[in-house]
Amino acid sequence: MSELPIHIKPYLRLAGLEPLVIRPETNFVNVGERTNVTGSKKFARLIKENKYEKALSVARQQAENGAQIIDINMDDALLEGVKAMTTYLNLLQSEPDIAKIPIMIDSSKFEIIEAGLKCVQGKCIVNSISMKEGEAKFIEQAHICKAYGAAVIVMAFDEVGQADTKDRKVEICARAYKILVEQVGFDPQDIIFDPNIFAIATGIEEHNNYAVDFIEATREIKALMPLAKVSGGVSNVSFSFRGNDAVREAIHAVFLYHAVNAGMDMGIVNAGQLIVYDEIEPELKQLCEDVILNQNNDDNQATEALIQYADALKAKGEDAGQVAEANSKKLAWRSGTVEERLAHSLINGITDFIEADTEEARLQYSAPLEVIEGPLMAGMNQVGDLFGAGKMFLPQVVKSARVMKKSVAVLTPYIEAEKERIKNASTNPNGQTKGPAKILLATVKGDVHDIGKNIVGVVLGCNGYEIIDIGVMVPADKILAEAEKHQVDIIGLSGLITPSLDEMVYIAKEMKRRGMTIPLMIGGATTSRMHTAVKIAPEYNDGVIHVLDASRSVTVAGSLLNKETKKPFLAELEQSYTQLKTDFDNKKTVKQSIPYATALENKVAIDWTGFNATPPSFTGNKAIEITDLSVLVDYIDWKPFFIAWELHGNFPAILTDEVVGEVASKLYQDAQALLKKIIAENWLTAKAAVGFWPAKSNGDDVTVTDGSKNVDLHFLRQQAKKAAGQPNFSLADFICPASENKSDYIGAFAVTIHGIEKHIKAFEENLDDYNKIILQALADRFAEAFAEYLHAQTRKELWGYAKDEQLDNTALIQESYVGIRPAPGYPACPDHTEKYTLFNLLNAEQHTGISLTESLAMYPASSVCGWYFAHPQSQYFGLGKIQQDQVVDYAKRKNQPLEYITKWLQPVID
Amino acid sequence: MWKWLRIINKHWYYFAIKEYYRKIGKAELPIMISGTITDASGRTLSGQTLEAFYTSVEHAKPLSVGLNCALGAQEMRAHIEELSQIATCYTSAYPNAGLPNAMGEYDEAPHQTAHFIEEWAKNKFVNIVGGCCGTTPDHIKHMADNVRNIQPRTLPIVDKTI
Repeated sequence: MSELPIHIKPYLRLAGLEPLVIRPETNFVNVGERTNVTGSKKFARLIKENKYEKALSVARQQAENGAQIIDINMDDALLEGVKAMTTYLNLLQSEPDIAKIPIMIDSSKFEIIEAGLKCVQGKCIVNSISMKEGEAKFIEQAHICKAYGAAVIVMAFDEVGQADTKDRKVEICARAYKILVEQVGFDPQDIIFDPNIFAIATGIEEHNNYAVDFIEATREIKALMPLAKVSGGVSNVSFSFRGNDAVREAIHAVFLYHAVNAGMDMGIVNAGQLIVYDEIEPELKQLCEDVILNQNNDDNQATEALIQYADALKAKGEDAGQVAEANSKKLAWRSGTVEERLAHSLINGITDFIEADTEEARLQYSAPLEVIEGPLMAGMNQVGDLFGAGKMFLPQVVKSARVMKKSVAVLTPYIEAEKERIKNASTNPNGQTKGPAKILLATVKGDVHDIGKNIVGVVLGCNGYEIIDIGVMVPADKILAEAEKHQVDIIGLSGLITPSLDEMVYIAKEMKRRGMTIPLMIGGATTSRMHTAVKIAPEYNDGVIHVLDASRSVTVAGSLLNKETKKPFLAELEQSYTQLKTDFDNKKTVKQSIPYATALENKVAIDWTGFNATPPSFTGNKAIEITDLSVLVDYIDWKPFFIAWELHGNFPAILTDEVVGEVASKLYQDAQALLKKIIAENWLTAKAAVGFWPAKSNGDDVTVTDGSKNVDLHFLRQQAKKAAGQPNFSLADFICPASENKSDYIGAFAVTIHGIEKHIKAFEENLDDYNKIILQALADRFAEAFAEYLHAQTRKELWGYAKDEQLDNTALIQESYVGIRPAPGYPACPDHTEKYTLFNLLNAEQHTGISLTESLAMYPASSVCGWYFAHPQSQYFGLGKIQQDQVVDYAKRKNQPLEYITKWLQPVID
Repeated sequence: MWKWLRIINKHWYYFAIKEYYRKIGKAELPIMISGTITDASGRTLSGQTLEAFYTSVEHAKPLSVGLNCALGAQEMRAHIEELSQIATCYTSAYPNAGLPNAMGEYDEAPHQTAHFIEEWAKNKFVNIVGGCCGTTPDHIKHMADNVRNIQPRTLPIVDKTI
């Protein structure tokens, strides 16, 4: 095809979440000015009082009023400018309706500008740099701006001073332009000049021509340097009329009319207060023309005329702007209505005033229940909406729930008393009102994990549902009996380990058998939409819904509990699940597999001829206990901690993330505070069992010599067809084969964190879900950290095969050490039942107090176990799907019935 | 030798690179930038539109800007076409082999991915092609075979005046 080459024009291109291209036909670009602590008292007050969320509304108003760029300035002697700029910009990034437009970072301190540059995504403008401290500094700062990819505003300011006449303005700008383009390598279109707008009509005659000087300088700058832009702070020009907004607005409109005609491209304005040139009252307009263009102005004639006009106008009535400012002062949140205060506390997670405010509301409302159904629910609905819109994040929602619980706790005794009174006063059984919809939550039998379930409970609780949480390891019968007893509207099941999937299928079957008709929600790390569609949904006809995370649970529950939406929602769901199931059933296996015997031939190629195993420092097992958990802190991998809170990203980058950085930082601070407490007050104890034994492999079995007896470990081998030269992995490959007649060893470990229950209970009693979930998540982190620590001890001392290892935490997390520690039930060895052997070898129950549930989950939940392999070629891998021939062989090797093995290996059988 | 960066659009990455070369006074090594349109809204993970993303990275004067992953070639086409219209540098495209199915496997066959790539090359959307998640050496070979005889995209003319 024939095509014309594409031409790309040198326009100034800026970007927030969306682009802003300034073309010749682009009209004057409004830069919002109210987010400036020196220009807006309201904004300054909000920032000084740390009310950053409220301060965001100032930016939002600017955007809504048509600002195309937002100028942000934190230059105030009483503020830590760098911190204020960083905090505000980070918060602002998470508000898509503001962050869509580009930012102008405004400061006279370059360190604040640099702090701002680090926060902003998109292409922003720096406001400003200049040559007032000499060329060298100017060049250095310009280089930095350029390296961050920002456009710059250059103020017409040099070593001598700020330019006030037209000639000085043009001269300084031309000089700066030459330096920027020729020495710094700036693109001309990324240079914006601010030739200084000064106040006119001050009564000082030298000031009278300032507007003309700006306008004429603009004209010449644009002629000399057509790609560069001209900007300015428009409000300055009318400074002498402050307090009289009507006149100021007229001056601005007239000034802009002339300046834009001369080539001014953009300006910092109050985007909400721009008026149209043609609509200015004619007399006022003429007076403004005279003052701005410095005409008819001998002896300040024009100035005097405008001042007289302004005074007359002011006398007519209160100035609208002053009234607004006074009102906004009264609106500091503590002086709002009790409903507003309750909502504010809920949304911002503030517990300080909640008890007093609740009591105040209780006295105002006719019944205590009305406080819950009225202001509290209204506040929580706002929380739900903000969360749904991605404007609040999970940790904040959990804090809101804490406030809600505290408030409800104040009301509960009165509600009970009220109930009692109604019961005594009336015999009418219909006097009862239907309360909120009830949702029962449980972690299924054999599974102990409940962080996710607790989070779902909190989030649903925030959305007005009554949550009945019956805990972990709950047998099917109990779940269903409780559901019937409480007449719940939805059952929600949670599970983390793979055997829980089967338990969920069983519960679905049982619900059908019992003739239940309420919907069933499925969630948890191991569950999936596909598994739900293929295995669970076909067993129960009244709705089985896979819910990906806590935030989705709200919309799902909402759709299920609304009579009008329930049917279409379930019908649509059924259709998509049926489709998924059909696709699954019809799916041709893309990956080819090979016979087990062939796979067994294709082992990991390890040359054992020169192999010499390092003997461990002891054989058999040993108990280890750590009471001072501070040694484990450095081994904590924080990333999963944030994932537990549905904050996804790498640590520590997540702390400065544009969207969730603020929330993540707060959560991290709170977690650190609790961590210190846990350590200082010895809340938790870490217990471990570790052991090493002589071992030799034989096919996929590993024979371990434990004292006088031999114990067989059974491993599984990949059966996918591999590319030439790629082995079919089995963990057994990493142990020296019996045929080599050499010594080799295998190790094992189990670690756990004790002591969490008492403190969980205390948090529950204190209605503090937030710290409860932090504690649970920290206990998990400690267990993982202990496993990491113990592995390091093993490599360096206990086994000692890598005595000289020097690794930092990042290297540990990236697993860049020799040897592996795979866990039974995880991808390399997915058979959970091997945990029995591991526990026996380690004497783990006795040494650590961990018990295995019937689904082979470990209790306490914060536990980790696994094998140690030391061979340098040992590596993690995923088993993938295995074929029936291997299942049969495996059952034989384990001396177990085929059905038993099939049940446990179900997830990996093709 | 080229530097390869995965972008979460943070300017300090480029800042670090630019400042490093400026401080040591050596010529900069070329930078290749690849971004990901993460969902059907046509935005990057951090919420930027494609044009906003390009505008934000253009200053690094990269050798190439392109897209990789995330929804597969079919969904990437419109974005890579748009990019080819606005990028003054080379453009690259590394789609994944479609979206993984629920079992985490990629179903798009090498000839399918290569077919998309070929059409883009013919339409002069791209200078550099490759594969992201789920693609295999075989995918790459198919792509290479299909684009071998196609003239790559010509760079746009950057005007000096408006």
